[in-house]
This record gives sequence, structure tokens and C-alpha cells, in this order.
Amino acid sequence: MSIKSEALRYLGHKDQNIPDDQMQLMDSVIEETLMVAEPKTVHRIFDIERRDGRIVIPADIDLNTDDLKRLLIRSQAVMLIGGTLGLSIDRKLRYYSKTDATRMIIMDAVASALIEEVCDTLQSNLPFEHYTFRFSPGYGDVPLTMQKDLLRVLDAGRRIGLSLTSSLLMVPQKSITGVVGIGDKELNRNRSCDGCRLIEQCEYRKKGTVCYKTN
Amino acid sequence: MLQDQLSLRRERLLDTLGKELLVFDGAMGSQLNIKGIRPGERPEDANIDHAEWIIDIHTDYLRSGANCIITNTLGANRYHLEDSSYTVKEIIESAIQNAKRAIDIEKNRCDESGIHRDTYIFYNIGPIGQLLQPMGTLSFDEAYEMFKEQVLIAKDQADAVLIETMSDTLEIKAAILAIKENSDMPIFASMTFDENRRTLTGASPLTAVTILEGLGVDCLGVNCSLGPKELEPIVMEILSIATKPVIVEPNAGLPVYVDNRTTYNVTMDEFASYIKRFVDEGVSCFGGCCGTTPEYIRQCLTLINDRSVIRRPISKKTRVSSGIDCVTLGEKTIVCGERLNPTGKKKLKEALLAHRIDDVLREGLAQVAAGAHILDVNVGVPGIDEVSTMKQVVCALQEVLSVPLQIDSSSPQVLEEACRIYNGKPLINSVNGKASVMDEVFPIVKKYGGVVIGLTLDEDGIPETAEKRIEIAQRILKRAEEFGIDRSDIVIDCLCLTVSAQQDAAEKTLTAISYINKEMRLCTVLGLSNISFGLPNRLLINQAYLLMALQAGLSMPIMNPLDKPLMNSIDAFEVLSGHDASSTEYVEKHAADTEHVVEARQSTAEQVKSQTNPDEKDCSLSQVIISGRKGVAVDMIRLELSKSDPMQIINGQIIPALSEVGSRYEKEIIYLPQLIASAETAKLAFVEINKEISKTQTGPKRGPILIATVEGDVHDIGKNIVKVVLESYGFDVIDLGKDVPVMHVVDAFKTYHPKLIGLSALMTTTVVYMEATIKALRNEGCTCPVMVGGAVLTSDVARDIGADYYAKDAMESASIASGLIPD
Repeated sequence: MSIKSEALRYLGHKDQNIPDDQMQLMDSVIEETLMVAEPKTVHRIFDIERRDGRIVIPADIDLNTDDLKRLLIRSQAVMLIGGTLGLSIDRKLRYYSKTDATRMIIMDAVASALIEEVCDTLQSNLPFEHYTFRFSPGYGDVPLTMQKDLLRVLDAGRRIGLSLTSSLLMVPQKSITGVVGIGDKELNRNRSCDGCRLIEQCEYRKKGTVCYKTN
Repeated sequence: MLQDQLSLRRERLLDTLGKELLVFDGAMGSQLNIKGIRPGERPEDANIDHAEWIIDIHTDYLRSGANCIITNTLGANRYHLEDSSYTVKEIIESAIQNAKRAIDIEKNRCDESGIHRDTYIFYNIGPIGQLLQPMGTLSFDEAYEMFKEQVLIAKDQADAVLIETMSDTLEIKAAILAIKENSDMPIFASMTFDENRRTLTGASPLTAVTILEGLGVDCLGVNCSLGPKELEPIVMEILSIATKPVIVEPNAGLPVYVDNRTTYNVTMDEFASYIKRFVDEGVSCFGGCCGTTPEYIRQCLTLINDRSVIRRPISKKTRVSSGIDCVTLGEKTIVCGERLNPTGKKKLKEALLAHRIDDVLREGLAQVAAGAHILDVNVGVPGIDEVSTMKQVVCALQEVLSVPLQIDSSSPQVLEEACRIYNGKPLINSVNGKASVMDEVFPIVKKYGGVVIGLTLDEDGIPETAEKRIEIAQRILKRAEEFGIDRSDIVIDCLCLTVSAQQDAAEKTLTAISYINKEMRLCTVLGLSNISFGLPNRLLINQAYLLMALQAGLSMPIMNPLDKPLMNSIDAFEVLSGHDASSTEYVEKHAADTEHVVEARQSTAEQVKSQTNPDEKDCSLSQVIISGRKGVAVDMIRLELSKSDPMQIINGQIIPALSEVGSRYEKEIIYLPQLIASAETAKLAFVEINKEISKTQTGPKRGPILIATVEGDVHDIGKNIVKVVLESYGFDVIDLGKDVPVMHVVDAFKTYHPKLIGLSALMTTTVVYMEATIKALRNEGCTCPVMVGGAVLTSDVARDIGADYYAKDAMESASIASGLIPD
């Protein structure tokens, strides 16, 4: 799926006719985003050991929440991943917030699509056949506080400049962290809205779509 | 007694530095991983839990030939140790003890073998792990305090401090100030760059060196992130500009994960050959970062026969910087934008007094877009809190612009506080020949590492003759050097008087510029516009005088970059003086100029028509708004204003257009960017209409509405969308920004008496601040309606936290506001 179609989806596009000038604007923002972004990723892969129904990996992080256990149920290994577009995109967005709000919201969506794409590309270049989808702290029953452990295990601050604020927000803003199961059998690739705390008021669902990429 | 010994050791270290090679150790973390620390475990805890491991690692490095060992304290700050079972003090003290133990062990062994070597303990400071404002939420003062806490514990025990792995120039500045203000430790400061030769926050090696040298570190350089091969161009660049000794500690290449283990892809032979090359080019200190081992260090030393440091004659240049970009004076002409100065500007004065920072910012953004390389910032308005306003404006400008700033105030306190939080090496405006002023301003220049403008005036005023002004310049230079300020950090303003009052004054200023430039070899700056005061067509005079001054050697005119003829003159001068090699920049900027640039413009109406889609029969303001064509909005509204009454335009065109846009959006005929483009277009129309209205009457604006992204939250895209949409409906919106402390919202409520307060929060972790903000407002007796929005909010949550309204999107916020605040 292209960055453009994903960005359009984030912008709530369904089947509105987009005039040429708006389409050109979208293309020019995509071009600019690709030029300004400084994508970086870091990942670590750990073999999973199971003891008394608990997942144990050789790193200082506890992955034992119901949702993660369900995610990793048939995985032999787990990949922890962090990715970011860097501060240059944050800075550009701030700049446009003062000078060009239209460009700002389009770039915001394009950058969100791009960072997903960057992490997808990383995964597809690794020599594993089957992955689960990426599960991020803050979704389902995985607490946001797990961000801290994830980033520490990945040494993400030093490696890719990804840090947290004291309210556990990621900086740079266009960043992703995730837990991905790896195995030699077909794994659960499909995300669902189950367990999402926003399910009742989700604007995407009201419009008949979802917030994540579907396969 | 112990203190004396420590001072002696520090003196010896500084004496050796830059003459004889200092050999640092290699990686600590990678060695600890081998010993058994798991990924994600805090290496600092090992100082206590596995002291013997740390002592072993230090000892191994000493045996490999290192004479500088670095304590295992990279992350020994309060934030990083939050979840540790040990305190900062316990960790730091045991880390230093471990280093001392290793030195004792090694010393005993050497005593037996009769070898004697000086060894030094470097207290290691690393990044806190949180980003500083404005990109993150950590304040400069909080960062400073965390570094200070470490320094106070280490200062009487370690020989020196090595700041490493830093990527934020403002954070390293906080660390350096914390060390300098609380200890006598020599400072070695190293930053980390990635393959595009920038730090993660965007600083180039030139910017980093400029800032670090300004702050007076003893040694500077680069470590981590890359292997020696990738670091080579960065090391060479640093060596070509740094006047201080240089330290280099590369990784052993890039990390490769195999079987749950991290390994690195550069062999010790390859590593050593690069280090040898760096030493041959003049590096003063080397060591290793991630993945290096004692064998790497040993291997380097087998290749290095001569330990004396190669001398690099580097001449200092006059440079200022932001945290990102660096500007060199004395090469090509540098333009300093003068417009961020309220003198004679009513609108800017009002904006500053009302803390409407966005209006202030606009003045800066426009000048940079017009080509300014540096911006002068002056907020001196009678009755204003100049210190806090200056800090606020400096931060706001640095958030969106990367040009260096010129901090302009007559108050030393304002200069000092602004220089302290400024990210970069500032240009300070100004000092002059008065002894008392020099004594107040020079310590600030020295401490914060700025370049200062010296005005050629003194207790007797501005001298009439060039000779007297030159004398003052010489006095300023001499006194600055007594304060330890390098001559390259002094620039002189020879002052420009009004030519209509004193006709020979123009020539005298030029004579002084020429002498100071050629004979004293200092850069000069000049505020231009005074020259033409009282004459018609001032721009013409300014333009001619600008060229005369540039010819006399002026480095930086302080002027209005929005005056196109002045900027064009500079472009031409750069070609004619040979600064613009092969006229590249000139051709780029002026290739599209026609012979008749000044040809009368087409009439506004014609222009608008020609830019309007011919398919649309109805070329009207409302059409322009509906299709969101921002580019033609201003001309269009001016055309309308020449024909109709402002209120008629609002009610007859803008409001109907907006409701059409709103309904198209609701029906999913258009999508969000189109809605925003229309809103921005309508907003431009309102700006023009308000200008027109304020000419004739001072009608009450609609509002104001206060909006803010709450404390702890840095995601403000949603709030920005709401702002544009509200403004498109003609509301007066006061945007407090993002991560706005609870009490700031309360204070703003008291200042502006808003009709509506809008708060946004993105995360569950920040909704708590939203609740706290509402509570604090209510406690202060605020009955103003509060509207909230953001990804995790629902009408239930909104009610629970005490909000009056929940807006699911920007359109809804506009209808809530319209219901509450009638026209």
C-alpha cells in the first residue's frame, strides 16, 4: 500500500473527489516529507522461553499481559522494534503550524504513514517468513509504562534518538515502538479493534474503516 | 591537602592535554554484556551489584595502555535512576571508588615492575534521556539541576569530567554550565553525529564546535554512533575548525545482533589503523566507544610510536550559531533582520505586551523567508517584564527557525538570562566604550560564549571623528581581552548618523569601518536606516549607503530584509566583490527577473481573474474560500473591500462560504485538507477586514477564545487545526501553545478574560493534566465555559473531568463557539 493512500486514509478520505491542486499539494508534501525525514530503526530479536504459562526472554522486560500472550502464542521468538523519522519532521511540522496549516495536516498524515512504512520495510527485509502484527504499548492491556522498558532494552535513545517525556509520550513525535512475534508457522497478522479503549467513539469505525493498515 | 593534590593533578592533566596523547578506555557497556548484564538492565547498578566486574574492566583497560579511565556513570542521573534501588549519590560514589580501586591495583602491579604512568579518572556524564523543550518537555533548569546534582557528588573525587554521547547542543550547554558553576573540573565534551554529519537534534560539526568552544570546554570531540570509517569525515571537519584539543572515540563499527548478542563489524586492526590516522592528523585524545575492548586500545598503541600531539594551526573566526546552523562573519555578507524591535512599531508593541507570541513570530518568519541570516530580537517596551518576555520570544523563535539570534537589550540582566537559555552561540547586542557597561556585559559574553557588538560610543556620547570611534573600538577590544574574550568574538558597530543633519557624518562612519576592518581585523556591523532619516525616498539613500559601507568592509548590515532593493543590492555586491563564486547564487535568485521588473502591476482585479479557474463562472470571494485558494485571497478581499462594506462581506460572502464548506465536509464531499485550506483562506480575509475596520472604528472582536494543549502533552496538531477553523469564523483566538503548565492557563484566563477556553490532550497520561487545569480554573472562580477535545476523550470523560463541552472535531468546536459567542 502506498504512502499516499495511507496518508489519505489518515486524513479521513473516503471517496471525495480531490481536485488537481489538492492532489499536487499532496504530492509535493510527500516529496518534501521524504526529503526532510531521517528515518532510523532499531530492533532486537529474542528467543521465547515459556515457563508455567509465562513468556520469558533474555532481556529486562516483562511481556506477560493477556494481549501480548495471545499475540505471541505460536511465536518462537519476539522482535522488539523502535522506529522514528527524527526531529527534523517535528521541526518542519512546527514551522508549518505557524505558516501553513493545510500543509501541516497533510505532512502530519504523510509522516504517520511513512514511519509505518519504514518499520514494515525493515521487517520485510529480515529473513523471517511469518510475523504477527506490531503491537504497541498503550493498546489493549499493554500499559504505556512498558514504553520505558522497551526503549531501554533497545537502547533507543542512543541508537536512534527516541526518548520519552515524563507523560510517556514519544519524542520525536513520528515514532513507533512495537512487539512483533516471529515464527515458522502462519501467525496472527490481523489486527482487530478488540480491546481498544476508543472503540466506542472511534471516528474511523464510524466511517466504516479502521485506524490501522489492513492486509 | 587532598584538595591540593586534586588541583595539582588537574593542572598536570591540562598541561599534558594537547601536547601528549591521552589514551582513554574502550566500551563499558559491551564489556558488561559479556560479563552477564542483560539487555535493558541498568549498567549503573552494576557499580554496586557487581563492583568486581567494574573494577576488572577498568583494570583491563589500564593494562591495555589507557591512562584515562571513565567512570561507569553515563546514565547516573535522577531520571535514569528513577526505578533503581540505589540513589544517585550511592551510584556515583561507588563508581568513582571502583575506578580508584582499579588504579590502585594497577599501580601496585606497576610499582613492582617499576613502570610509572599518570592515570586520570574522568567522571562520565551522558544525556539525561529526555528531550529538552521545545521539542521535548524537560526544561533547561530541570536539566541543569540533574547535572548539578551529579557534579556536586563527583567534584572532589574525579580528576575531570567527560561529557559523552550528547546530541542536543542545549542539553550539553546545561551540563557544561552545571560543571563550571559548581566545580573546578576540567571539561572534555564529546557529541555524537550520524552518517549525514548532524547530531540527532540537527547540529553540524561546525555548529557543535562553535558552541562548545564558546562555552570554554578544555577539549571537544566526537564519540559513539558510528565506526571509525564513517566518523572520518566528521573528525577531519572538526580538526579543520577546532582551536581546542580534539577527542575521538569511535564505535567498533555498527552493531550486528547474533544469537541474542550484540557484536560489531570493525576488526581491531582496522580500528587501530583509523585511530593512527586520526592521531597523525592532530587528534589529542582517543579511546573507544560501543563494541571496543581492551585489545582494541592495545592494538591502537602498537601502531602509535610517537605520543606527542601534532600541532594544528587554526585561526579563529567570528561565528554565531543556533543549535542547528552556524553563520560566519567576515566572509560573505550576512544580513541581520532588524524588524523584531518594537521601537516605532505599534502593532509589535501591543503583541509583546499582550504576549501574543504568534504575532511576534510572524515578524521573524517573514524576515527569514526574505533572506535574513540572523535576527535581532528586542522586546524593550515600557512596562513589560523584559526578562521573561525575551526568554519566551527567544524560545518561540528557536522552535521554528534555525537562524542564529542577536539578543538585543540595554539591560545586562536580560542579556544574561536570555544567553543562558539560548540554544547556540548568540550574538549579543551590545556593549560600548563605557567602563561600567563593559564590566557588566563582558562577563556574560565570556561565560555564555557569545559574540558581542561593541558600539563606538562612550561616556561622552558618539564621537564626531572617525579617529575617536576607532579609539573606542580599540578600548573595547583591549578590555574584552582582559576578560579572556577572544578578539574574534568582538564585532564593532561604527554607528550611523543622520546624513540630513550632518552631511559629513556618512563619510566618517565609512572611514572607521574601513580602518577597523583592515587594520584591526575585526568584523563590523551597522544599523543602516538612521542614515536617511528626514529625507524623501529613504530607501534610495539606504541602498546607496549600504553599498558604500559594504565596499568599506562592512560584514553585517542590520536592516529590513523585506526591502527588496536592499537585498538585491547585496546580491549584486556579492557577485562584484567575488564572494558569490561563479555568480551561482545571483543567477539562482535573479534568473527570472525581466528587464522591466518595475513595470506597472496588472490591476488587482485582473490579476485575481487570471489566477482563477476559468471554468468557474462565479469568480467571487466566496468561491475563492470554498475552493481554498489562499494565494489569491488577499487580492480578492481587497478588491471586495473597495466595493463593499466590511460587514456586508462577512455576512454576504464569508459566512455563507464557510457554512457551505462545513456542509460539504459533513457530507464527505470534501476532505480535511480542503476544509483547512478554506479555513485558512477565510482567516486571511478576516485579517484584511480587521485592518479595514480598525481604520474606522474599534469594534469588539469576537472572543477572545483561549486555547492550549495541556501540560505534559506535545502533540498539538489537533489544537492547531481547531485554531485555524475558529479563526476562519472570525474569532479572536489566543493560542497558549503546547505543554502549557496548569498555572499558565489560569494566569492567561485572568489576563484575557476569555469567553471560552479550549483544551486539548492526546493521551490518557495527559488527560489528568486537563482535569487539573479545569480544577485550577474553577478554584480561581473561573466560570468561563471550558471545551475539551483530543483522541482519547469522549463526552463521558469530558463530563467526568469537569468540562462543559466536548468537541469531537474542529467543526464542532466552531459550532460550540458560535453558539456561545454571538456575532
